[in-house]
Amino acid sequence: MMANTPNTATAAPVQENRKIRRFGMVINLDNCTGCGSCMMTCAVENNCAPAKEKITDRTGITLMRVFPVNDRQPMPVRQAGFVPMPCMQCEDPPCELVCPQQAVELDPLSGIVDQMPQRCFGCRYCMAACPYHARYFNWYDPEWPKGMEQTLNPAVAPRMRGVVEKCDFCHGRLHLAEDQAAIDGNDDYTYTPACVEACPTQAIVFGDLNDEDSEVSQLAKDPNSFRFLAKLGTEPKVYYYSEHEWRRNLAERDMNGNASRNEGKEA
Amino acid sequence: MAITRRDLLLFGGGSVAALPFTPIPYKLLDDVSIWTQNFPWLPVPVPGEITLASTTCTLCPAGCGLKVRRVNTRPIGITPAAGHPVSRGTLCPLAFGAHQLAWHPLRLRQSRMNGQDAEPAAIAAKVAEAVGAGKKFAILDERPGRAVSSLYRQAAAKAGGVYLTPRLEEEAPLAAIRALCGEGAPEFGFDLEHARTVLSFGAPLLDGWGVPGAMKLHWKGRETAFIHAGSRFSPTAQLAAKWLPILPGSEAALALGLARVLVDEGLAAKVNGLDHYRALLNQMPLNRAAEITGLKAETIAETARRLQAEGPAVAVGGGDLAGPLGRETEAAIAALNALLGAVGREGGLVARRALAADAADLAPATPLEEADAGSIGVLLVEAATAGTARPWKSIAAKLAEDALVVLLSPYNSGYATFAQAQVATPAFLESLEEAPTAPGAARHSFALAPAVLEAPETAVAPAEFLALVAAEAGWAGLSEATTESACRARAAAIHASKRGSVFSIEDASETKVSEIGSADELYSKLAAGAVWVDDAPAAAAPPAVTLPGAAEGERQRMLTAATAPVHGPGGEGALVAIPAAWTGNTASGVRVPLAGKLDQESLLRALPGEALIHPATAQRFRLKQGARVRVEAPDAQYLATVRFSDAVMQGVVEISPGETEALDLFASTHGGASRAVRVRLGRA
Repeated sequence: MMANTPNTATAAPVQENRKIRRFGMVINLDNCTGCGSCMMTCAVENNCAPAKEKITDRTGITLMRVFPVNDRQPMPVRQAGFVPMPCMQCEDPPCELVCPQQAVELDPLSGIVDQMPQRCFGCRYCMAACPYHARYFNWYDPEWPKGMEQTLNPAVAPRMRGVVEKCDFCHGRLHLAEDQAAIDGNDDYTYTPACVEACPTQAIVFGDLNDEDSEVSQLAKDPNSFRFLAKLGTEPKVYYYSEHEWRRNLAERDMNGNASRNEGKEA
Repeated sequence: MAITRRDLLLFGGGSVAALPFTPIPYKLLDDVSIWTQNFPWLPVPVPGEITLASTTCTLCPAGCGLKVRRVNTRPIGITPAAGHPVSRGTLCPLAFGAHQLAWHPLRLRQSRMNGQDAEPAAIAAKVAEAVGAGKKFAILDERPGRAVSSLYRQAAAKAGGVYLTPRLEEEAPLAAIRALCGEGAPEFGFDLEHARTVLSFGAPLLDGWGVPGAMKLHWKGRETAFIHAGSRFSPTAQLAAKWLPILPGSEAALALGLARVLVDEGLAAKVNGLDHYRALLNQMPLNRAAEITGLKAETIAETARRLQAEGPAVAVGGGDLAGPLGRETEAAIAALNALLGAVGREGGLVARRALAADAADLAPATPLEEADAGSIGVLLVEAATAGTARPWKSIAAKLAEDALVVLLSPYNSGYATFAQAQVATPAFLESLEEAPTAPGAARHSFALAPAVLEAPETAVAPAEFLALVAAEAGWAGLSEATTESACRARAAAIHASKRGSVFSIEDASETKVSEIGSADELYSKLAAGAVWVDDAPAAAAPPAVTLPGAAEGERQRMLTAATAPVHGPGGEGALVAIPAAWTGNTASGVRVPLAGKLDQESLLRALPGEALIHPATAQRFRLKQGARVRVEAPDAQYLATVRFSDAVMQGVVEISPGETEALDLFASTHGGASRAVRVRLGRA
């Protein structure tokens, strides 16, 4: 586990007089029950379509995904838990670097790695570059049963087949908060992503990592906090917290323990 | 300067070579990309002002408070209601996608009879005609305890029929305790909030039990240690402070083993009937309990001592959704609670304050299992959308040969295949609904769920359909009944009791019922999405409990349940099947459309129709991941897809049911469901 030293620098120059935020998360793995509320509300908030029959765990769209994990001990002494994985919102995002279309951009004002599907032409370089497998490709057009399109969130445009998408910390909600702040003439705003709002055990803490007094900032500095694959130096802004060593050790472990349903199928 | 052919070629070649270094191809790509974003078949959400409407979730019996985010009249999302006294600002994953249920592909928009569209009045006439012809009338109410349920009970009484209720896993152990307290015993509820140690016998305490979100919040507080005894490495087993991996169906043996330790070591509370119960325990030495459960004898002994030392402790039976414990097992768990001194104690099983007595003209609630086999000639079923799971066989066993089955449901799913007539009812959020006391709760509550969406004109509320039947059959007093009139009557009874307080979701305020001027005012508050919660149980002397097993026959049945826990014939090649159900994948209603995020699109849960099996067991049967197998029980079979999991016990197959056919594997001859059955696997 590497030392947790939140980087207060931003990637690009920004407009003067605007407060520079670095939105991030600390997810308390000890409080995650794996219920999947975050996944469901994320799908609703971001207008993800119900899965077609042929979609699998490899081809689905789960911008927030909860992985079951364990300490690899034999049953019945095995300890198990869950790891919710949104986009890690890296400070130095490899996906941004490889995108030939500038469809990925680190927002200097919020620190959020934005994905612009309108620019994406589906080369999936970003998916290959992302060490967290946090990006998803739209293999199919999104389709809703007749009439259900009425339930779509107007703050988020549905994405079409052939583009990559990922978690952007609910940019629709961020924009609403920014709009309201502009109306109020007050730049001191914050907001709550859908997964944070939905978690029944408040395992996800969200806020501005640049704000030294914020709960998220304090938690990120806790000795029990860690980041996945920190050794790669991508400086993720999603931190995890656990008082259990085996969970903290997950940070540098590959995730091969979880086989896909497709693996080992009969020919 | 003359332009030669060579110049032209050079210019052309140079242009082609330089093109990739100009913005032109990229701009073109960009434009094409943007254009493809606007394919006409992609829906464009219509913007508008976002407002919130307060209501209550009625998908399962928990009754969680929620707010529906709306743009104009369209629901676009659901958020939890902060401070809600029942759900405490939490929701389960299903609720977050429930606003889409009105547009479910299996939505039934037109009532049907014998495969043809039909008017509800015609179906009602058919029901009345059958009742008039002397067929026995019954109503199966999958969401009992509502105000509307009293209309059903009235109808059953007037028709000389029966009002049937399904088994709710949370309530089964409470009924078992009540049976030990004899005549006049109060209704009980679990006071888990004040318990220090909770032992669950397969009950999914942290995965859908009671009020799911509130249970998780309680678990997070870490003030209660959860011990889970179960055969599956379920989410509850994973989250529990300690998991006791017992062999399938051995809950009764564990309960008796724990009781034996308490009695032998003088740790048991003083209860009546200890002598005859000791006679039963004498036949269950600790080593035998250990052998049946697969646990070490020391583990059982340590657990029993821990329950006594780290009290208040309580044992929770009921079992898993689709895998209920038998009556004898519940009796053994109830006895364990009595020996722990948990009955009538804070942090154990507390007596709920009594509600107003039932009117004399209501039929009693009869558990489905207790209905006479082959007796029902006309059956109305009001199906729950989620939170219930029972094999159709358990219902079919009660039907007469030419029975008329009418399903009241917004969906063409679940029991629809077996019903001659389907009445299209409003879906979730489309009509006034109600949420009575959450199962297992220590305090009564009552919430109304006002309509947030407009129902299709063809949809008929169950109470309205009952009124149609009543008009045809001439049942006085019911033909004018509506959901609202029933709810108003319930609100009036609550107001008359002057007990408890009302929590308003809209402004998170609480008002004592005694401060509310009239029953109409109380109803108005409830109809705006508020919830009434009764006062805390009054301190009272614990009721006298008599341990079961006074009769030799009863002791023998309990011993049989403990020593022969798995149903079906054994022999070479037999495996033990247990259901691995959860609220989201097994119900008589439908799955929330986005529930696939949790199983199909991720590995968080087993997919409906999957058979989870240990790789070593699979190797024994030469099965590969993804293979289709036929799971054969003595009276049913089901096609499933093999998925390996080394968390499954060897020799066990966990069936993730989705369709009622899967549940039929676990149907038992007495009309209920078994927790564990022997099956064989064959190639599909």
